[in-house]
Amino acid sequence: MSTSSSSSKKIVLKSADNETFEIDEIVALESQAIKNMIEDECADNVIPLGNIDSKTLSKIIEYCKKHAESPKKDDNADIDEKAVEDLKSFDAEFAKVDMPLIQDILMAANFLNIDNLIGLMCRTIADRIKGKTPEEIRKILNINKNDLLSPEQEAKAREENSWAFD
Amino acid sequence: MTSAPPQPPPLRPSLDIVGEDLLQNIFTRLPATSFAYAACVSRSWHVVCDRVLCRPKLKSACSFNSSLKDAVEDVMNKVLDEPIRPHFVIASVGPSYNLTQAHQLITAKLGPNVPVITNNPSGVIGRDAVSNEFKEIQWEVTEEDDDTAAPLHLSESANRAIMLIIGFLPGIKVEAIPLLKRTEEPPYLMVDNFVTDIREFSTSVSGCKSPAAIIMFSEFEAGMKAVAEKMDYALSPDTVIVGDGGCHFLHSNGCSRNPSTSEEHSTSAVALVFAVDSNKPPGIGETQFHATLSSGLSSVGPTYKAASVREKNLDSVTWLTARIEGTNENIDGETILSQVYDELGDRIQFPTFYIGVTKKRKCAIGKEKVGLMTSLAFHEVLGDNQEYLFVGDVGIRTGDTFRFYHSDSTTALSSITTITNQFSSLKQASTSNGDKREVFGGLIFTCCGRGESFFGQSDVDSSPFLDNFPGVTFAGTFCGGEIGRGDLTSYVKESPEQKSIRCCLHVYSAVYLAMSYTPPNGNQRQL
Repeated sequence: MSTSSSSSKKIVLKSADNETFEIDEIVALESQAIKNMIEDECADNVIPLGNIDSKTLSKIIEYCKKHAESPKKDDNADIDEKAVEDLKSFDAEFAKVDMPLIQDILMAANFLNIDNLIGLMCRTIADRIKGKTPEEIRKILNINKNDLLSPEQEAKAREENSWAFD
Repeated sequence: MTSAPPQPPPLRPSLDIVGEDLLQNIFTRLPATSFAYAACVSRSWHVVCDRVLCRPKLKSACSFNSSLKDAVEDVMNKVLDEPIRPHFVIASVGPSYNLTQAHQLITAKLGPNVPVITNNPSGVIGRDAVSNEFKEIQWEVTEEDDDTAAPLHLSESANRAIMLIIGFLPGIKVEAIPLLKRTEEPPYLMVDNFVTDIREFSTSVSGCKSPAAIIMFSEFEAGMKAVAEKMDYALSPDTVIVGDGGCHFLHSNGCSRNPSTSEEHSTSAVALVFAVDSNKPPGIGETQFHATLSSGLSSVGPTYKAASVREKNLDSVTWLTARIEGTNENIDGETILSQVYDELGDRIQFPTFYIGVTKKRKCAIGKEKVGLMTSLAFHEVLGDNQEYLFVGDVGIRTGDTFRFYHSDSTTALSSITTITNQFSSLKQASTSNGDKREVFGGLIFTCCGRGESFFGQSDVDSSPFLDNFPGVTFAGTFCGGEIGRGDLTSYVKESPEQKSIRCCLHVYSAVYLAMSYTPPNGNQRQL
């Protein structure tokens, strides 16, 4: 695949802030949503993504490129360990961004229906919540103050989960 | 007045904007402790967490780590690696570990509000926390004469084991209720209080005197047969009762309702009582308990009637003579035993013998009206002194009828097949005609005399459940006496009227408890 990538079919994605990204179709196909559009032939050469900004979109393209290039698990039962490890460390590096960007990527991945990326972002957020107290979580994730539990509700919630608080 | 309230500065958006489905996706990946914290973060998080945990869960793990602390760590991490709220915990530890220490380590991790029972059975059944391999492990028993001088050749690997079961049952309340024994002379099992406590707890939760299920653990001691009989009498036949009737145990109540034991009392048994909450929140379906029994006993010889009975209370032994039912001639112990051996021939090399005694007794709880019940109790045959037949435990009366039973792996295998079929129909009922019932966990209490040496191959007792419900949590213990209230057809095939005979304490049997869940009907929320 490395030899003829220039000759393969191209797709252009346009971000909310009107930046365009030309990518190989195979990379775009990582998104189930785009794949459906292409299959239904309702996609022009340029696909506008009005709710994804260019910063987020470029991250997503970076992810899809890497995953499109990597050998798929179902291709071959014994793909070499190295490729798997390589992808793992790519994912780990990829997730090392701040919370707002993670949230943006997660929502964009959800919109574009990229299963692996949704999983990676949810896992990343879960890892950042792990071991944190409710107060710490509220701070890290900027939880809406209007959504806080009333003192009674909070007491009840803590009671239900009291085993974890002692 | 003042101008409009100050607008919050334009902050970066809160995580909540990703929406409930993605929040749920995130929370599902949290280990139990972090999940508990997340549930207290905000209103929307609380709601989503409840959605993640709307179905019951049973989780279990074993560890064979050589350090108790590490072993507890292993199994705890494994069972708490996903969202769950511990409603009850059963921990079974091998003889190389200190029971008290194990109990303390476990309760320290779960706080004082969770009912925890830690016991030391004769072996454990479950999945290894590390290798995920399914195992039936019986302790390596050393000779009776071993003492502290001979630990060198003792392979301790099998005996360093811990098996942990943790359950989350929304819509059900669980409490550990002890059976106290007065330690002053004469010692006395406070059965009526025990039954009353169970009924009171059940009534307070469900409005019904009899709970849905009881998992019980008791010491192997005299009078336990009478306790089982009384519970059977006092509780509705719908109450499922299973457990281990011959192990040491420790328990934490998980509530302050029952004061802990005082100096005048010791605890002879403890019941984990499961009662359906009549105020269960909407959207919670129905959890059901299904118990079934595989017997490993066959009857042999005629039916006898106890002619004379001498109870040796101190040793918990009964001396008997008997006559064959329908005759008038008293037979001594030696003759009875030789009749039974003749009957059996050399079909089985080293059978263990029991007499199954049919007891018709008056029964009452406290000052309630007296009723009549018929039960079958197994007493181990200990031998004879020519004149008398010796059997274990007390409670037999002149005029009671009994038959001999011997341990028999052929009977056990055929009853295992029956159970496999029962589970198969339970599974089919769940997958056919729109019934959404799903089996989410199973427990087994099997006799320490069964296992690999009894069947000649391993995992036989576990196979009915494993074959029908692969991937579903299944765990249990080898017991010193199986408690199981259930199908008796394996003992009393002869006449239909005998089917009214009750039996709760078994020998050479395996008692299975399957737990199923049916989601609420109608407009339940889709995930």
